[in-house]
Amino acid sequence: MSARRALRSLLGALTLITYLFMLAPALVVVVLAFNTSPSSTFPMTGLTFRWFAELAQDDAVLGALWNSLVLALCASTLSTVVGTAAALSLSCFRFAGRGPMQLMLTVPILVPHIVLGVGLLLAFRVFGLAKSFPLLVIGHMAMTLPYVVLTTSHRLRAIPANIEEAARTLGANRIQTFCAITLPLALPAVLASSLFAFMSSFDEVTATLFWLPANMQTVPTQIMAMLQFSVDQKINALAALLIVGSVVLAAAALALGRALSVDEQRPRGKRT
Amino acid sequence: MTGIELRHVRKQFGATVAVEDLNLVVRAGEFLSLLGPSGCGKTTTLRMVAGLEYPDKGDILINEQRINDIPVHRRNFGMVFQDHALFPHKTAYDNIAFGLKYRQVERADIERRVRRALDIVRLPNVGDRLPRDLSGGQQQRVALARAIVIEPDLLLFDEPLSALDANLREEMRVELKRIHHTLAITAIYVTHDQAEALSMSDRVVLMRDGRIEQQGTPDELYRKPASEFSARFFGQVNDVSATVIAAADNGCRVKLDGGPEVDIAGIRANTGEPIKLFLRAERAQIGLSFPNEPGFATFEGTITTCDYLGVLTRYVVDVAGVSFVVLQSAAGSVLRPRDRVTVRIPSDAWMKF
Ligand SMILES: Nc1ncnc2c1ncn2[C@@H]1O[C@H](COP(=O)(O)OP(=O)(O)OP(=O)(O)O)[C@@H](O)[C@H]1O
Ligand SMILES: [Mg+2]
Repeated sequence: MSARRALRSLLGALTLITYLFMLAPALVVVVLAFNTSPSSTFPMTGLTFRWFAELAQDDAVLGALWNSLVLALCASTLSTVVGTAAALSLSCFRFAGRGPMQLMLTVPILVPHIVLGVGLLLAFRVFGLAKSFPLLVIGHMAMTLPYVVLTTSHRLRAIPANIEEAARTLGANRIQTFCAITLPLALPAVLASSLFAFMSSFDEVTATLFWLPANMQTVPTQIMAMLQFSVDQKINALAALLIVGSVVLAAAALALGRALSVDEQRPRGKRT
Repeated sequence: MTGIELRHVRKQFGATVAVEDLNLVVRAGEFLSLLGPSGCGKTTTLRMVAGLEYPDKGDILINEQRINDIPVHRRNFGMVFQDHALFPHKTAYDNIAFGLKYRQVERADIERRVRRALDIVRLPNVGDRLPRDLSGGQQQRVALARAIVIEPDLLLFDEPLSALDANLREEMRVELKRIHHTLAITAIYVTHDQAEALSMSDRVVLMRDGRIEQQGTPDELYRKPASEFSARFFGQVNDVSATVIAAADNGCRVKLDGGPEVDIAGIRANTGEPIKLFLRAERAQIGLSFPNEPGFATFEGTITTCDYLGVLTRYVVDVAGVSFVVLQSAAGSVLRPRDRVTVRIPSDAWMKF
C-alpha cells in the first residue's frame, strides 16, 4: 500500500519535473520581457512595458508580423479548402490512383523541410519563376496540406456510412446530406487541422528561408536576423507575445473542438 | 398503401453474387420478413429496395411503376438500421424532424408530427436529448420514430433489434408489431432470427445464397418445410435413414436403419426404396411409459445426454443404435442419463424432402 503511494508520488514528481522542463524556458522568457534592465538576465531590476512599446514602434518587426499573418492565413485557408476536398474524395469515393494520391498528399509530412525548401526552390528555377509571395504561399500550403488531409480524412472515415444513408432515405440528396450531416460531424477536425496548419505555417523557418522574396521577412526569419546582432529585450517581448498568442489559440481550439464534437463513442453521462 | 415487387433482381459485388434472380411480391399492408443465414443477401435485397444499391439486373416496381432509377431521397421509404444510425450531433427531436425538413411541411406541423411520432413509439419526454444520452432501446425507438414520421410508403428494417439484449428485444418485437398495426403500412423486415420472423410476420421469405428457398406464412414454413434447409432453419431436426417395407396410399411403413419399424402417415414411397426421414426434436416425446394409442409409434430407449435449457430440456435418446434428439418441456418428471424411457412419435411428424 505504502509502496504504491510512494510510486504514485514519484510519478507525480516526475510529471512535474517534465512539465517544468518544458514550460520553464517559456515562462522565463515571458517574465523577462517585463524586466527593466536592457540585458535579459536575472535578477529582475523592475517591471516595465517599455520593450513592448518599442516593439510597437519597430517597422521591421511589424512588417514581419503582418507578412507572417497574411502568409499563414492564406496558406492555412487554401490547404483547409483543398485538403478537405481531397480528404472527402479519398474517404468517400473509390477511384483509380486513390492510393498514390493519398501518398502524395501525406508524404510531405515526412520530408525534411530543408529538402522541401531546396526542392521547391529548384523547381521555381526550372520553370523560370522568380521568388514571390504567391510562391511562398504555395510552398507553405504544400507543407500544411498533409495535416488537413490526414486529420480530416481520419475523421470522415470514422463517420459510419449508414448515418449518411439514413439521411438520404429521409429525403436529403447528396449535397444536403453533406451539409447537414457530414460537414457538421467533420467540422471539429477541419477547424483543428486548419488551426494547426496556421500555426505551423506561422512557425516555419527552414524552408521559408529558401523561398522568401528579397526584402521580405516573416516573424521567425526576422527574429533570426535580430539575433545576429544581439539578444535584445525586444526579442524577449516578441517571444512573450508569440507564446501567449499560441497558448490562447491552442486553448481556443481545444474549447471549440469540445463544444463542436459530439461523439457517440464517448461514454454516456449519468442519466436521470 | 403500397405493395412492392421485385422481378429477376440480381446483384453482384466483385466475384460475390449477393442476390440472384430474386422474384418477390410484397402485398400492400403486409409485414414480410426476409430471413436467412448470414451472407445470404437479405441486407443487399433491402438496400436495393431502399435505393442504396442499384440492381445489376431486374426491376423493382411499385404499383407497376419501375423505380430502379428513382434516387433514394425521392423514394419515401422509411428505413431503420441495425445500429440505429441516429445523427449523433442532433437531439432526438431534430433527428425525427430531419426528414420533414426536406418535405414541404410547415413549422407548426413539424412540431405536431414529431410529437405524435414520439407518442407512437412511447417516448414522449426525450425530445431534447442527444442520442448518446439515450439507452439502446430508446435510441431504437427514436430511429423508428424518425422513419415513420415521414409517413413512408414502405418501412424497411435491417435487423433493428439485434443490438438489443434479449428482454428488450422481446419487448420491442411486440412494440414493432403494435406500431405496424397502428400505421397499417407495408413493411419489409430483415432478420436472421427465426423466432423474430415467425412471431412478427404475415409472411416469411427464407433466403439461401442469394435466392429464395421458400416463402409462406410462418405456420407454413414451420409445418411444411419444402427442403431440409428450411426444416433445419426452424429448430433442431433429427434425420434418420430408413428403408420402405410397405407402401400405401396415405403413408408407408419403414424400417429405420439399425432400428425399429415405424408407420408413417402422409409420405408416399415405393417398397424397397431407401429414404431419408426428418423429425423435429420437439415433435417427439419421451416418458417412462405411454398408453398405447393409434397414430403414435413408441419405442424403448436409453437417455444418453440431457441438457437443461430452462423452459425446455434437450435429451438425446438412443433407440437400438439410432440417436434421437428430443426437446421437451422441463415440467413433470426429471429424467437422467442412463434412464430407460419410451420415445413416442406421432406418425404424421415425419418429413421427407
Ligand atoms: N458492399 C459490398 N461489397 C462487397 N461484397 C458485399 C457488399 N455487400 C455485401 N456483400 C457480399 O454479398 C453477400 C450478401 O451480403 P448481405 O449483406 O446482403 O448478407 P446478409 O444476408 O444481410 O447477411 P447478415 O445476416 O450477415 O447481415 C455477402 O457474401 C457479402 O459479403
Ligand atoms: Mg445484413
